[in-house]
Amino acid sequence: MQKLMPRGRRTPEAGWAYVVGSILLGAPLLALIALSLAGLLLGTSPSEVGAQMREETTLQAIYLSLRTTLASLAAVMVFGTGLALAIHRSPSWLASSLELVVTLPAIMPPSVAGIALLLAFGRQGLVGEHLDAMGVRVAFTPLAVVMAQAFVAAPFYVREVASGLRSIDPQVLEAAHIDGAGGAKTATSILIPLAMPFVFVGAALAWARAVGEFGATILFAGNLPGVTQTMPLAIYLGFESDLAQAKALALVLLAFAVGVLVLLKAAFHRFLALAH
Amino acid sequence: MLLALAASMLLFPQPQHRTLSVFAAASLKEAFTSIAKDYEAAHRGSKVRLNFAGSQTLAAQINHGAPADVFASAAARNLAQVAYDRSSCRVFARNRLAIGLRKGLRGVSSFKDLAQVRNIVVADPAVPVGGHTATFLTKAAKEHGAGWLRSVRSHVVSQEADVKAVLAKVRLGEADAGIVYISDVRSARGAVDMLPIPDRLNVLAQYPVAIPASSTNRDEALRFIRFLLGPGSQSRLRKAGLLSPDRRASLKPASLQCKS
Repeated sequence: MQKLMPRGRRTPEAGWAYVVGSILLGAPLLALIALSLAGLLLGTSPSEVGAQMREETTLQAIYLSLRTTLASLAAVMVFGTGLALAIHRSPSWLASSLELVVTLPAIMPPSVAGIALLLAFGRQGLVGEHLDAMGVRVAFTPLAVVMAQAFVAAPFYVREVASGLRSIDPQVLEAAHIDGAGGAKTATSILIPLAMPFVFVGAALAWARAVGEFGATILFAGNLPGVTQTMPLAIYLGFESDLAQAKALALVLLAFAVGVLVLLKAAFHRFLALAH
Repeated sequence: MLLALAASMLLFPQPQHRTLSVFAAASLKEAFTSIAKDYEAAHRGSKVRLNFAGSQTLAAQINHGAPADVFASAAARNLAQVAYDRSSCRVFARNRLAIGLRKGLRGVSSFKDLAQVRNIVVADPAVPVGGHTATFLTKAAKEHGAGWLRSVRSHVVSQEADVKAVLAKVRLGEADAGIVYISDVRSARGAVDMLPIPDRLNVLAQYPVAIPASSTNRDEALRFIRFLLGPGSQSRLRKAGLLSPDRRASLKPASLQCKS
């Protein structure tokens, strides 16, 4: 999120030749993204999307995605804030190990995450075996969907908040300490409010990642409409049987992504304005 | 853009002319893996590249331009989704449904007991075996009542994207029972127990094979289909738990057999 960081001075604008030249260099990448989006937009008629939006399975997938991602976001924000605070104030060896563990899900293929979750929390898994003995079943439930989403989304939130905490001037902490504020008090009334823009950005990124989660979900949570079939799963299965539904859901997800980006930019500018 | 295309061509060269691209239903995995090896051994210089997935996935891939020279589908309805050469179409195998049970599951001795099994996994209705599963359940409901069917349906915890995914969930012990083909239970080599489904309620799945219209390697594709119908390949299919096609049916015109 470097581009959203506050900047002291604006970089001077270059001449047109420079701008055109660098855009030409980036053109293949730009075309790859823009043409795919154009294909999706032009390949779907509004009436088709409208009709799909009245289908029960489509609405079910949207509703389930909304419910599960809000749950996983809440979990990531509560526990992730704890981890970010730990990374911020722990001895450096501990902080870097914590950071490494939390980052792993971001660079690991989601299908690997799905297998890992299954082998840990599945019925015959490391922990799942004991849960099953207590009558708790995780795999194939909405809880499994939430766990898969939290797993893949956590790094985005924790890393963002940890880097926000790092950017706070250590003198502020010292001043709080001198004024007699304890660790918990410092965290809740100084650190977290100061890192708020990063909390917001991290939450938005984590949410977007959770909404798009597919690979870990289909392996760990399975696919059942209304129970574990989130929007990406419905798109995948719809691609083969009901392309209209797949396209409508794809557009909803695209609109969601655009919405998150716009919101992020607007909110970040507001935070900056408040901070100055 | 041109540069990127050129680079990708260098990094991922297009297959040689002699490479035959065979798209086959997930349930054919074991049989086709050995048949492809036999074929390569019998035809020096030929190379077979296999792609396994649910037949509905394969049909979608072919329709979106994936290069397939041979399409071996688990159902005629998925073959019908693509443009193919009708004269090349043959039914080469048949299969029946069976219930795969988690190793060590107790208290299930007949398919009727399915209503008492807590975690059942089936294939998505879009997958051929998912369609057959629905047919079997409807037939069984006529004997055991709507209550039985409701109870089985309410115990279904997932609808998977292909038959091997159903099998994997049973094999891992995540599901207690999964409705698959006899050949899939056979392929698990004892890691999954089999609960048979009586013939009167079972479905006889017909597997058609044909050359998609987009194939660029027709002669070789035709040779592969002939090889597939030959005694060596048929014995491989039977060893994997599939059935050979009905001799009488194979005398009928090809277009008749390959209709859904």
